Amino acid sequence: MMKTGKNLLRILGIVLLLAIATEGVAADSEIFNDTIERGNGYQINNYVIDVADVFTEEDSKGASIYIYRKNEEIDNKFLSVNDTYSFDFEDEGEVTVKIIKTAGSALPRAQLSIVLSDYSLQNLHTNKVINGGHDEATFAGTPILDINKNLDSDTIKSGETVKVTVKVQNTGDDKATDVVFSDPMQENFVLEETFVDQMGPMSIEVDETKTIAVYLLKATESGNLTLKPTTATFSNTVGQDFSQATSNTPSITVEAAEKEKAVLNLTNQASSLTIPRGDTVTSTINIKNTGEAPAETVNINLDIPDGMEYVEGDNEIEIIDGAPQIYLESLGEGQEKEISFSVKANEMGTYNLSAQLSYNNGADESINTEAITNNIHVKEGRFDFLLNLPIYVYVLPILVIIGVGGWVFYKHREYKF
Amino acid sequence: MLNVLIIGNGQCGNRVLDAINKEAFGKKSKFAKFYSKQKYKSNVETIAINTAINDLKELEFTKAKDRVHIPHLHGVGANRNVGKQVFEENKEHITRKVEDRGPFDVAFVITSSSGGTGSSFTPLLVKELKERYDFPVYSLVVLPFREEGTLYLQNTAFSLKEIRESGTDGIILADNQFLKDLGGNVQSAYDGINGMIAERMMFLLDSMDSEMMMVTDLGDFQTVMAGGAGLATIGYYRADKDLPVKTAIQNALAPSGLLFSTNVYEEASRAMVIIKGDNEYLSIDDISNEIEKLSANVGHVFKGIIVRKGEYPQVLVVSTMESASEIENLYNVAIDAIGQEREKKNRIENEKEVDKAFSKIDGLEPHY
Ligand SMILES: Nc1nc2c(ncn2[C@@H]2O[C@H](COP(=O)(O)OP(=O)(O)OP(=O)(O)O)[C@@H](O)[C@H]2O)c(=O)[nH]1
Ligand SMILES: [Mg+2]
Repeated sequence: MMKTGKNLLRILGIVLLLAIATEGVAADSEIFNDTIERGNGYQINNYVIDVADVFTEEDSKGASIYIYRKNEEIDNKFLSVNDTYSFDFEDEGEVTVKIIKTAGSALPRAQLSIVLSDYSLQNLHTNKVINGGHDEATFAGTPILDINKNLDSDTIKSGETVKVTVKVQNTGDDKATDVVFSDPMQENFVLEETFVDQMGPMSIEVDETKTIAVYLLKATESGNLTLKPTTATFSNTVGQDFSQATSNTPSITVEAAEKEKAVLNLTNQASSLTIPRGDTVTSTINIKNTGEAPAETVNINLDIPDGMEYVEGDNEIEIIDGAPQIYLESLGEGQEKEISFSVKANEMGTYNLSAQLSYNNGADESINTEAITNNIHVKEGRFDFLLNLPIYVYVLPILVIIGVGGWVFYKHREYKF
Repeated sequence: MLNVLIIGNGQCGNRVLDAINKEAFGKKSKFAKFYSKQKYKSNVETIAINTAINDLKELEFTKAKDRVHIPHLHGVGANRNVGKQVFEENKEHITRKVEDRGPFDVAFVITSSSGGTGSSFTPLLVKELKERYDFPVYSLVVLPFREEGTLYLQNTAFSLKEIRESGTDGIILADNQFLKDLGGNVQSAYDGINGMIAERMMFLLDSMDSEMMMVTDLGDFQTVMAGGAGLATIGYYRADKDLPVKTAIQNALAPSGLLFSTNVYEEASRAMVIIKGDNEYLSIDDISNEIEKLSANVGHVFKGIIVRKGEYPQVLVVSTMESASEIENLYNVAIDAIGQEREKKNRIENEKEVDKAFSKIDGLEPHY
């Protein structure tokens, strides 16, 4: 209970403070208490109180007043001295006119008290005597600035430019003065070139159209992007400020640009296409980057078919799990490499050597290709015919050699003391 | 078929034996033993005996099992007394080698007369064989070069005498000095001389064991060798072209065909002449004429003819000697040599007297 009591006190305090702060607004203000000659008027913003006639006769002291909003008469009234008359002013306000006294003969004049109530005085931009009455008054209007931000394209690619044209039109009923534009920096774009740049301050007549900015923006990121609005602060002819005008926020689709890619050309050539069994053949792998970006993680598997055997090769080749491989961290644009290795043909037959290439093309695409040598024909080895002969053809000489050798050994032993 | 035993004692005996084994292969190639067979007609057993193992190792055509090493330093250094002692100590071992290969019909023991091992082993071995067996044992003795020194001459004098007295059935002499003097085909002196001896021995063995008609045999050889002073030599000639058999016989008897310096027509006692060759060369008349000429001066002459198709005439003569003037010369020189050796020994003993004089002050100290 104690707590609730404290809170209540606090709220009460705040309400009191607010009441004091708004007192000036709510209070009545005598904005004029002076004499106005017949035929002259008093302008309060767009309202004019014309003192059309002044009567100075003792028993009929008073004045005829006409109330105009701009050039439109909204009321007229004869007021005797000490009479008051009130009319609505603008939205909430009220003006009360009281004739204090009248005097003069050649130049009759009336003393008026004009009180403005329920009106915030800071909105009061004009309050003065107008010689000649409402016909001579100038009224302030509301300039309306239509700012249009236009793009020459709604879809571009990253890295391309879009032309931005910012135009403004005053569709209001008053001249815009002290117009200052503000065009914010655009995220994901860079300003490439500026053709027109008139950010003010300037004035814009009613119905006037102005081109205030023309420039090129280059997209640096992809996506569906919305440009920030161009804003303008301005006043009207009487220096009345208005809340800032804001342009449209055009959208643009920025497509991701095609990335530059590496393209590897792979060839695989055998030194000889016909070899005798037991001989070696050299395979030369040529790899060249004909693309526009470096290739990364370049891997070549050298496929050695059954019946053939890897013998040796250039330094780039390493044997992993028994299989020869080439690995290059990267192969730059235009770079070329030639790697050779030799294989031994153990069996007769027709073979080809395949080099399987895989790499990252720099655009995060994994590319796989293969280069295969022409057919390599492994024919009968130089001494293979021996194997085709009946066994006795070579067994016999071997037996003879063994026999002779054994005999020589035996004889040698027989005579060796 | 005869069973023949050939023993080579000492380095000279070993090498001559090896030369015979080589000759038996026929071909003169060093590698003949690897592809050829020995062409002994008889059943021939060869044994090389030496105290020097290196001498045995040098042999090339004598089987390892046929080489008998009697361990004693590296030879006996021409000292026959040591040699005799070593033989006595190893007598059983040596005779068992013979026993294992026997029985034999005839034996030849080859040795130099002048070295230590061969010249001392041979008389003792012959004596041993004669005591145990009754086959004839012949000694083939190689005489030294005269310039080889007094020790060799001395050894020769004693060993020849001992071999004669050992019971041998005959001594066949070959004289290094004589063969060297002849020059001719003696290039590397020893190999040449050994080859000559081997050639003759092969022919002799061949002729003793031939099954052909009109041939001599072991009995004939025994009879020849039993004649004269127990000393014999062998003459030989091999024609290398178409030559009358008469000339071939004369050449075999000439000094160039003999192993020892002798005039067969004057000094011979008995002889055996074996002629080999193609029929076309073997004119019986010519042969008879030549043999008659010989037997007119010598006692009995045995004659054998071996027909070999396509071969030029070859003639072998074995002849024992009634007298040997060369041996007499040798002994005269040897006696001088013995005298010299004795003198030398005395000199050495006198030197020992000097040693004694020096030794008198052993253990004394000079006083000052
Ligand atoms: N014809 C011929 N004579 C030889 C040969 N070798 C040595 N002589 C001679 O034999 C004599 C020496 O006797 P060796 O046979 O060497 O002596 P050994 O019997 O081995 O005795 P030690 O060596 O003294 O133990 C010398 O007169 C040499 O000229 C040979 O191969 N052929
Ligand atoms: Mg020796």
